[in-house]
Amino acid sequence: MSSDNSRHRLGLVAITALSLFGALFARLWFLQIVEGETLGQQVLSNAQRVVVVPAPRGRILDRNGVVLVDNRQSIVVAIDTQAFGDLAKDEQARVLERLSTYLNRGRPPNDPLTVKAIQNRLHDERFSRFRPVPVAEDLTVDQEIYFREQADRFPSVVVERQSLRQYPYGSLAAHLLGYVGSISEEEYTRLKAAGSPKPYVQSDEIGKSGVESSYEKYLRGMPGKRVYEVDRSNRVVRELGSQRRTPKQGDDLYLAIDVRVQAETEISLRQGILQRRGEQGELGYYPSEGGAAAVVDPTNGQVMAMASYPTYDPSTLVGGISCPVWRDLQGLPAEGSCKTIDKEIAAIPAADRPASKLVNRAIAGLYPPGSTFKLATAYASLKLGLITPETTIYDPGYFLIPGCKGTKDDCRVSSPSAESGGIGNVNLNAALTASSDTFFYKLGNDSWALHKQQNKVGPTALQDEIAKFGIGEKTGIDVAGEKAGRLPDPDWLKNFDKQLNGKATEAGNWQSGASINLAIGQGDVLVTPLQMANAYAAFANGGTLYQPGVIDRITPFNEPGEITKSYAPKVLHKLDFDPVAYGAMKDGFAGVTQDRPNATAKGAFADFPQDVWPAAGKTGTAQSGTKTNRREDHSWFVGYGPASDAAAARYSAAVIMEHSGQGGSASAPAVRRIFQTIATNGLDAVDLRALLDPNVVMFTNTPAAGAEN
Amino acid sequence: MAASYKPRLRPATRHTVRRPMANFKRNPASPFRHVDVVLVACVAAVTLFGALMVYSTTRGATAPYDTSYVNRVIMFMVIGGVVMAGVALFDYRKLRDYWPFIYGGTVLLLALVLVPGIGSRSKGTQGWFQLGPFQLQPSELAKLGMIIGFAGLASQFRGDLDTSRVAMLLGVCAVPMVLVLMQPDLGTTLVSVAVAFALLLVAGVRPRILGVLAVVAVLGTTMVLTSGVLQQYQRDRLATFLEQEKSSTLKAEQGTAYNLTQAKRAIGSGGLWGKGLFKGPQTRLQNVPEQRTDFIFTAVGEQLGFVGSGALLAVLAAIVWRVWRTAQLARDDFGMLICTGIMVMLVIQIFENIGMTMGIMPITGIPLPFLSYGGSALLTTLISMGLVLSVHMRRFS
Repeated sequence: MSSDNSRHRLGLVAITALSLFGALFARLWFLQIVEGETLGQQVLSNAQRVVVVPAPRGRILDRNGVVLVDNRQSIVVAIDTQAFGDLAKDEQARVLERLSTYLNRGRPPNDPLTVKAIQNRLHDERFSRFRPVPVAEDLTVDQEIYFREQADRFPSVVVERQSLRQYPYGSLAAHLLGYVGSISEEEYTRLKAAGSPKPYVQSDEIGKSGVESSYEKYLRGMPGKRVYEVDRSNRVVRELGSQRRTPKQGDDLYLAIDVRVQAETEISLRQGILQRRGEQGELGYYPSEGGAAAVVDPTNGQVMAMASYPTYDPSTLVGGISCPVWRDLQGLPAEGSCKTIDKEIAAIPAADRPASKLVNRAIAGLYPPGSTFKLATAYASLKLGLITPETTIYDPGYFLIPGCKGTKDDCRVSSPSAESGGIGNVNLNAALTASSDTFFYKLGNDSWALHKQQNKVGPTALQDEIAKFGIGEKTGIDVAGEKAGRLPDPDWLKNFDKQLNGKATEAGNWQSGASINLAIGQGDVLVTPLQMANAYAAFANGGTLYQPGVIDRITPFNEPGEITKSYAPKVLHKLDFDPVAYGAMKDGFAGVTQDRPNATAKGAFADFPQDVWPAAGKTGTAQSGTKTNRREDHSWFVGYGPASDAAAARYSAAVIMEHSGQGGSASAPAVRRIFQTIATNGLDAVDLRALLDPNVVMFTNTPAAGAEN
Repeated sequence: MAASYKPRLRPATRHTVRRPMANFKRNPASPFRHVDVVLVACVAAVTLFGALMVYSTTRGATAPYDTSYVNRVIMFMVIGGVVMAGVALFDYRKLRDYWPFIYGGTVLLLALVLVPGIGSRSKGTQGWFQLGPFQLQPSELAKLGMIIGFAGLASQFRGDLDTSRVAMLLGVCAVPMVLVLMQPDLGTTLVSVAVAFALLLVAGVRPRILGVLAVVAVLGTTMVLTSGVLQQYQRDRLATFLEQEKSSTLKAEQGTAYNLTQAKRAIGSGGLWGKGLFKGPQTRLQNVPEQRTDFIFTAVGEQLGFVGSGALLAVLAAIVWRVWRTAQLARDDFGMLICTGIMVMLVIQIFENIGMTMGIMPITGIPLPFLSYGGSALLTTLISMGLVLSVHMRRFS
């Protein structure tokens, strides 16, 4: 019977069905038990989107808690790209058209916000798809209200408040503070690779210079995050509230500077330069293109003030830089292209190159130190035993190089006092007060002779001692962009000659002339103003060279009591002074500002309250230019006080004014003014607002006669 | 040997005349004493579970929840339940006389649906009648029509199958298959091929002929796949299946590969215990396309895990087992063939549907019996369950 056969064959069907179900079970087991975890992970990344909420940067304050850099809220119009994408094409076009028309009412006619520009923004990959894309910044409150009221006419348009950098004192301490800008591709890649605990996104701002850059990791806020669940069209379904992290503002950075000292320093520097431009030297009006000042606390190396001129207002850099502003910062006329700006600058002869306003001359400006260098030479000479505090040398106004085989002119080096027949017999004390070049020429010559003829010391004996003042090496200050300067020695000269001439020549041999030049801070030696202020601070405190630092303390935002990091002084070198020699040098520097014979800054410090706040220092008049291309000297003054004894010194200040003539005439008055304000308790009266107007002239008792600019 | 497959019990009352309904309690052969309670329970359980799953995929992520889909499912369940009961009460043996009308009716519907204006087109397939708010999918009913037609014809031959009779049986199968393929509905056609092959096997066609038919079926399938009958999306689906690893990395997240990737992720992420009812992100975020219909199993896998989906497979297997058992117990060839056809239809659809969501079968538009959202499919499945119940009830009468 077929029925039996059929039922037999039904068994085959059953076996087939059983194996098919078996296959399903096996596959189910594999997917859910074996691969379950992997696939589950994929689901999570598939279904969640993390949106980074930027955190405000930390504030920057002075040592007394005066806020120097703050954040302000900017009203920003943005487009929610998701909502925008949901609009019909013609509706999208209408929204952009309306937006452009309305925003252009409040904009200058030559800089309209076109529909095309908005569209470019929307397609800019730098902006996250999950955050509204900003279209225009810094709206007025009226405009904000308008957008809120007319919300139905502007679908997908949102008005947000954004945090931007704000500078209550304008250009005050601009170079020290630095500025922020959009993170560059290179910075982003580097920081991402480094794995910062405060991760960056490509629309972030980052410190570009000054402490904004060097303390980026503290100033940067901890970004918050919001985790959204999204569907397969990336539309937000809901927020996972448990994973939300609110952004945390960056740390408060208390700088070592005292805003009043800083302001007084900047005003004094600017005032001196502007005044000097109205005065005539040997070559006509002093160019006085720029200058710098640094004030250091001798007790621990903290920077009390740091100024560079010309300066700029960092608020002009907030939210992007326009081409005219950028050209102006480079010292170029505002009209012109920005694409070829580097070529344009390179085409200008070095001597005529415009002074860039962005360069911090206090740490990146390299100048010959001139006579201010005699501090280091004196110390080195005492250490080498070339002189004792009592050694007297006759200064006829020139120095004849012993054993010199050239013509008379070649072998005779003059002092500025040559015309008046010299200053006669001088010891170390008097040589510093009167800045006797002859005295130090001899020391330079003798130091080389000690090696060359007597073979008692190595070829760099002089330099080795000088280097203990930090000359020729970076101080290691915690602000980016510092330069080391140069302390020339025989090896350096040999290499320099090879590079310059392509092969070793006679000029590469160090001779006594090079040591003679070095002894008075001329020749190839280059220093920064900060290095000089720090060197004198080391002398003022009795012999400890600290690493200068700009930070006083760091606290979490708005919690002044919770100090997470405070300034720790770091010693770079220890100087070893013989007490008698130290006393002689100290008296020599004190004499500079006093009414003593040939004292180089006695005019600048006339009537200074020496009895309450004794000031000491050293002028420098550093030659620049060449024999064929003469230029006015750089004007230096480095001073410190109170100079009564090593434990009393609180301020060491260096001021340089480029091409401004004698140290005693241009820079010494600036230092005097800073010191006098401190000495007479005038700090509280410092007008911080005067800085906000770069053209205000404050020395009303000295008419700027015939000033051109 | 064959004797062991005979019903173990041959009650003496086998040849007694049917008695009035009022007396059925006293009649051991009464159909109402032999309702397959296990099957009814399994079908009820799995259908209700299906409604729950449809709700979980359509309610939306947040309140207020959408109940419109589940309401329709419940409506179809009620209608389907009544129809199933009606079919079960109906003596299937009467179909032996009416089969040409049923078969002819379904073929007519299949032909009509191809006529533009009468049938509706959706997603490239001409396969629906729009009846007011409802859609009737004749290809679903046609599977059943083909089974009844085959069983009716084959039972008339009483196992005496010469070549011309086999050809007639083949013709009965081929007509609806070709019409369905013209829609084109590849999935349903392939299910029909498997059903037809099983029916021929069980009907007693000689192995040699079956072998030839198998070769022809393979060749025919190859021809269909390589000729222009297939739409581009159907080719893509096949390509996706054949190159799963490649497509999931190369063109990840798009097209048919996207379907498969998301389906596998949903099932896999369920793990052992699942994410919990209504809790799976893949389901809630509607990451799996067509989830309430063809990909309903992914919702089960994600929310209830290996335990839940394994249990579902077990219940489905139990239904298949009861249908197979009914085929064994059927008192005539007609009932046996109907049950065999229905069983193979179920097995193939379950295997193909669940298999495609897990990447062991190519993606075709075949619904999961009892669970997938869709009135015609549910109705067809429940009618077939009614037929099986009818066969089971009347195995002694």
